[in-house]
Amino acid sequence: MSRKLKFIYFWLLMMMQSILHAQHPDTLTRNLEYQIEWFIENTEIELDFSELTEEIEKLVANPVNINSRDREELRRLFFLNEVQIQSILAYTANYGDFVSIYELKALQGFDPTVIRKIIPFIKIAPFEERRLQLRDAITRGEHSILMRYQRILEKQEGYLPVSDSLLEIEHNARYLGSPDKILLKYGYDYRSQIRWGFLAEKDAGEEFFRGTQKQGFDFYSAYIYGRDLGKIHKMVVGDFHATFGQGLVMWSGLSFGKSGITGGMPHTARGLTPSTSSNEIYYLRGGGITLGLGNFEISTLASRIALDASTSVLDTLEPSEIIEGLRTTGLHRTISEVDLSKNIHLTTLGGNISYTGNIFKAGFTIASENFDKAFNYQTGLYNLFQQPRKSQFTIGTDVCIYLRDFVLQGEIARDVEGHLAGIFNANFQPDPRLTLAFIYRNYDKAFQNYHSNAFSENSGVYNEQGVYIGFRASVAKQLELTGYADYFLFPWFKYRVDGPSKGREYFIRMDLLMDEKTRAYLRYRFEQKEINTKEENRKLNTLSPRKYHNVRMHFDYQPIEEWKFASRAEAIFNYTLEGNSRMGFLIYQDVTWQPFRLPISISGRYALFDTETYDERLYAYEHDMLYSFSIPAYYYKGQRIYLILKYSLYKNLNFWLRFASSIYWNKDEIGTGLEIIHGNTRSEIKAQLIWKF
Amino acid sequence: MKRNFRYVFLLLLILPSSLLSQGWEGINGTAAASMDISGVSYPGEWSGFSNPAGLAFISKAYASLSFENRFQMKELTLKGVSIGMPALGGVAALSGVHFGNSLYSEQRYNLAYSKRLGSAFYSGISIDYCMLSQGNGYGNASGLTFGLGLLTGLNENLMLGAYVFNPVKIRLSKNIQSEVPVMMKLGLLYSFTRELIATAEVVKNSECKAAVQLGVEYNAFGTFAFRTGVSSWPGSFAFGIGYHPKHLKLDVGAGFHPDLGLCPQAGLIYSF
Repeated sequence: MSRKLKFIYFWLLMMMQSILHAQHPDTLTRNLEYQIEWFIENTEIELDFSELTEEIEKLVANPVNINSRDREELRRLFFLNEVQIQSILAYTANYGDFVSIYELKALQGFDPTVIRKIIPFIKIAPFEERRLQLRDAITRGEHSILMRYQRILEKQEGYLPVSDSLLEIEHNARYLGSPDKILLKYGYDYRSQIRWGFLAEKDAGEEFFRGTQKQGFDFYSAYIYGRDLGKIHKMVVGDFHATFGQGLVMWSGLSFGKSGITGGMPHTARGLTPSTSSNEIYYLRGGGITLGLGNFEISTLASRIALDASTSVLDTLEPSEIIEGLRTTGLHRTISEVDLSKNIHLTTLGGNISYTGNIFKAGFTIASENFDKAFNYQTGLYNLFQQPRKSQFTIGTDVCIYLRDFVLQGEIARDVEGHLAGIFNANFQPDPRLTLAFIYRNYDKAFQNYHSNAFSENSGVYNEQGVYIGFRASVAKQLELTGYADYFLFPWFKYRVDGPSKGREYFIRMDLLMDEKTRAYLRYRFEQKEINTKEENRKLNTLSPRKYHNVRMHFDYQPIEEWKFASRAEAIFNYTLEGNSRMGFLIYQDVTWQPFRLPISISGRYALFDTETYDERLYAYEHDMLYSFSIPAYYYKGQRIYLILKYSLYKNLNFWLRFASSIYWNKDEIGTGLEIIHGNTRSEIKAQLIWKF
Repeated sequence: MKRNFRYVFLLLLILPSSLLSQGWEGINGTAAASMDISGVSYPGEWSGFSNPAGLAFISKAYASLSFENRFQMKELTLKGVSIGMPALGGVAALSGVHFGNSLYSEQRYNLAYSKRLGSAFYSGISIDYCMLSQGNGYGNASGLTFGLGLLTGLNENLMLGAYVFNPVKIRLSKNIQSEVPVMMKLGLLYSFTRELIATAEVVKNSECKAAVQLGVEYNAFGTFAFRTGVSSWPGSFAFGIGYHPKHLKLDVGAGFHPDLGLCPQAGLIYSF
């Protein structure tokens, strides 16, 4: 959802930018909040989204000069598509430098919404050849150090005292380490051109500098990255991401999929980028390089990462170890989790060649994935076509065509056994006030590729066909409508779906922009999917549809200086197979105080929630410290509060402190397994320090 | 007396739990009740209970009485009294409500203060004393809690109100079920014209399902007000009429529930 940014907003924010240094432009950040909220709603995977915030931060600190005549530089404006970038480049090539932002109006693909969106992130400076001086690159950049600590205050089962005799029988009855979670991060950045960084993380329950973690932290990561180094367009060593085409062959980082398309954050491949997050999966480790030869770009990459897996020894003439299941949590808290740690390796080799013309871009991607052990999954029928292979080799080709008001994109990929996956996507803007999107995808039930990440309803890129039709319309100056319909079918069984199934989803959102400080939206979402019917006397499962209706109203307002408020009420109705409906409800009030005269800001929330079961849970974005995200699911019955304080000790030295607590009125135990809290309250404390110099 | 006791006991068993803790929900005044709304975004003399921020709309000292009966049962009557006046740069009000009879009653006394902080921004706070009384020598239990509210103009026609009551969820006595419910409300008030307003609110009480409540008020001939509204939980509707000559506001109304029946209401407000 592209929300219009009014001048006052970025004027204010740019001003605060110089004062507080860490405040980011609202629209994009809010957009991001909304995307992340939705991402988690859909995938239920909690990830470290800091790379995205960092990207926005870097754009603010170092805006893009639209006269730079440098495609890579313009691509930093990641919310622009290739047509828009191409039209900026064509303009500067034909008419010389932009003198005013108003000239953008004349360009194809730049309606007032887009222009307002990019203004905070661009500057208009005379064109000059960027020559990288090695000395400057090393000495004149910005260093940043981040330290974060967090901990659940209530004792969880895994940390309770236990007798040695019990531990002897049950090795995994307790966590090995303390409940503290610690993150250390260092980064260096010179104009987004030269970057390097280092990260170390200890999760709650993991040991620290002793026992199983003699090396200290459980997870370490580092990278060195360079861009625009003559013929070398990009270069990265260490941990990185690679995203090419539409993501069918190689997309190792985050992707917002459906929410991104609607939200105006297109699924744009960015080639090689450093991995700066603490996600212990979804990254590549090794190196990559992108060379530019005229209109061609050639990228190659090599990576070898250690993964967690349960393995067993196959009892054959030559005993060999096989993989029984991959673990993707990255947590190493108990003896068994440590035992499974990093015991298999995945080697990835990949490459991409792409050609960028005036009205089109075409690319070809290959990826080869090799595990050092074979798989032997003992799973149900639903995984019949997804038995992982030890070696994978996938090729794909993608095309992007820009024709006046149309953007057509597509990619088709073939895996080692010849199974195909394809996606086609058309974007049409007949009028600056209307954007239409159409996406068709067809992924074979047996298509298999480890680093695929493309638009899908399923969590993986396989076993799915679907059509998505979406729109975004500025109906009136103050009214914006966004909506889509998505129809999908799954040709083969899925987990808890014993048969081919189908479903649909409708979404509509109405945004009211009352003035520069006041906005509201109303959102409705409907989803229907088929799942197994639970009937005890039946030997065979049959499928029946399950329907969800979700309504939300949300208000953001700033009635007086220094104070910001947000109110939300949301309900979900779950029509279960038995024909009865269950309801989930959430209501909250947010307050933020940002005094101009004091170097602090305080933000808090009070929320009431009441859901009949976990199935009716609702997600809501919470204010958190910079680079940290909190989007908890609200479920069962109770209340939640949080309070966050930001204190700018010095211009470039910021401190955050956050307390959050949920009380469940109808529970006397929270969580499962070793995470159980014997009580009805779960609280968390978090502190963070960021120093930039 | 004995018959009464049995009556109440039976009622407590068969009626929805929403009937319990009615006294602690406060009394929102006849104008709001006859629109079947709580009045979170409908400021007035009874805002102390519905959203203390609304008191700031009052310009003169007032005294008010309000009655609400539920389903024509004598035991299920809410009686309220409220006085308020501009004070300390804002408006302060003292209100009280009594629900029940001599054998079982719930009372809430509310001291509220509201102040206008921006051109169209009002905030309010209330300190609330909740009491439960049981007859036949069972005694009383009581506790202190608070409420916070705000009202803000989103544009010249639209106003938003938000209110939270008892976020600390006090319990009056350890021995009996006596938890005062937490309430949170979010409402909008839209003025079509000076004469016609509509309100929509979402109300969540920790003991009940969330409710959506819609109300309309039409002011005619300068001194008359006609009101009606619906509530999704417990599935009721209401209407009423008000007569507002100088200094005086006289309101009567009735709510209906298809299964439970009629709820007559009446209120009187005198402004000095």
